Amino acid sequence: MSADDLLDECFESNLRTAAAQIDAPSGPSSDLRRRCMESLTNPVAPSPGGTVRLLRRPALLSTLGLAASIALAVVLIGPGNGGPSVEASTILNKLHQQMKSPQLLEITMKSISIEEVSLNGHVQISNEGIGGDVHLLVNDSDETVEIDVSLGLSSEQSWVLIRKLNVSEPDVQPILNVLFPPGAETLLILPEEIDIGDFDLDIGEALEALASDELVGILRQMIENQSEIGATVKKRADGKTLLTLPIEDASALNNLLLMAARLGGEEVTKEMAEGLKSDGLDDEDIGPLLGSTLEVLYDANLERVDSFMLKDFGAQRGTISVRVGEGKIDAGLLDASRVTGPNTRTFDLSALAGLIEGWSKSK
Amino acid sequence: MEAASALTMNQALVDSPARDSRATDPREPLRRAFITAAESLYGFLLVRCGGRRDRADELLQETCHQAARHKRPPRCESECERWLFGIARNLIRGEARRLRRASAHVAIGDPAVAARLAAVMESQPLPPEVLAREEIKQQLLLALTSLPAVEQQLLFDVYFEGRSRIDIAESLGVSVKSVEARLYRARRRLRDRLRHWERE
Repeated sequence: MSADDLLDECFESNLRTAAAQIDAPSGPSSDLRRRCMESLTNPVAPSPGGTVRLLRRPALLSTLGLAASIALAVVLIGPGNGGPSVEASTILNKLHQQMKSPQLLEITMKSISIEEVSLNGHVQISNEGIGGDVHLLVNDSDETVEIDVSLGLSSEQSWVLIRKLNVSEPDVQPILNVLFPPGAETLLILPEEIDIGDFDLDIGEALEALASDELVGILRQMIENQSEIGATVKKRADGKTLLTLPIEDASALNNLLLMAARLGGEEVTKEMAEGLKSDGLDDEDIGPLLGSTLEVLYDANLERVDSFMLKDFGAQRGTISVRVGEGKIDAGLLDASRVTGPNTRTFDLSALAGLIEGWSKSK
Repeated sequence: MEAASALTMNQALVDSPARDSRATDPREPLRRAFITAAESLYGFLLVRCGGRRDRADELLQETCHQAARHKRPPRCESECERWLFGIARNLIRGEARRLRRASAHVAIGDPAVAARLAAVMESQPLPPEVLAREEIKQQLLLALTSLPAVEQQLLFDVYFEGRSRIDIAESLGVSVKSVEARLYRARRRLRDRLRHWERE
């Protein structure tokens, strides 16, 4: 009997004893299995609910987090093309500090188009709330959803101005036409008891992801592997440093995945690394990112990143720019009077509920 | 684990009339992987959600939803299974962050505890009262539910459900010796998993 057999024998005996005292986890219900199989057979196209979730869960922020990690790593690469010498560890620490407790994020989206979703807008996010304007279009083969809104969500007052809300779903659109007549603007004042806690939580999660030690670890590894990232550094006339990273293929992102795996505590074998080359992300997977350019503007005097921007992104070669700011959200953005006019219809939620009730009774 | 009912359900899903028409569907390996791994995948989620079925239900659906949305899932069934577990693992990470923020309990493997557990389980017979300690039961369950579906099922069948090797050999259509060999490999993987716990 080999040494390993002896270990196994002892382990088995203990496993048997332990198992007798553990309740094995139960399986999924038959109904749940069926629902899962249905979703694997007929992937759900973006629905109005899904659209709302797109807005509620800041997937965009998560994507930007990845984009930011790439871009910000470039900041740390140091001198290049005769650019200024930047002390990587100082910037890294400053950046980490900045991202740990960002006071204000300002996001501007122009002509963003990813698969069936098109997005334009400008929002500011801070601990005080969220304010801005968003136009979203989901144009799927089965349905179309178009939302054009301004919003201000804060503990003081929360409101949404709806300019356009079109859903191709035949059962839903008539209701929407009653509530939000085409061509008219409707201001919904959300009552105070509306809890926007979930929204705060999602933002917090996104910011937490941006600030994670793992991300900083990835940055450190990227510095060590800078030759794999074709970045350029230029000093501008205003003294700020502009870093540019063209995203030409998927290999850098595959390397990122390996780094993330290592930092996540996984043992990355040579086999895994080779497998990732053949089965990892390819140009098709990173589709919207392919051909785009990431830019990071760094202010060496203030030792902080001003902004980062992803250019020529998606089918319409759109732009996402993120300013990591200080201070408070623009007060005007949270003020509904900036978007309302004499012809704006105003509802509070209880009035809206009454309208829906009346409509359903009339049916 | 309700092995028999799971088998019946899996067979019913495999034998569905639409099966043939799906032969060329790129998602077919994914569906077959789900049929094989549904039980294990759910156990993986349930244990990490602290036994909360509502959350495990939601996360299993979200796992399938995310997998289905990918245009080019892996072509091979075993890769699909690993992929499904990868998606589930990522969802659990998000869940852990969310629960930590809410100061709620979340079951996360502890590499140091797991490694110690592997070492003592391999070296000496432990009294039942030691193995009954919550943290030990939790580490074992976390490690067990992270194994590939087939090995996980085999270990649960033998050690938790008390099924005999002969019974399993008959249902799998293999020899008892083959079942023994598979069991040995599954145990070795479980020991390895405990010794080299992947941070979650």
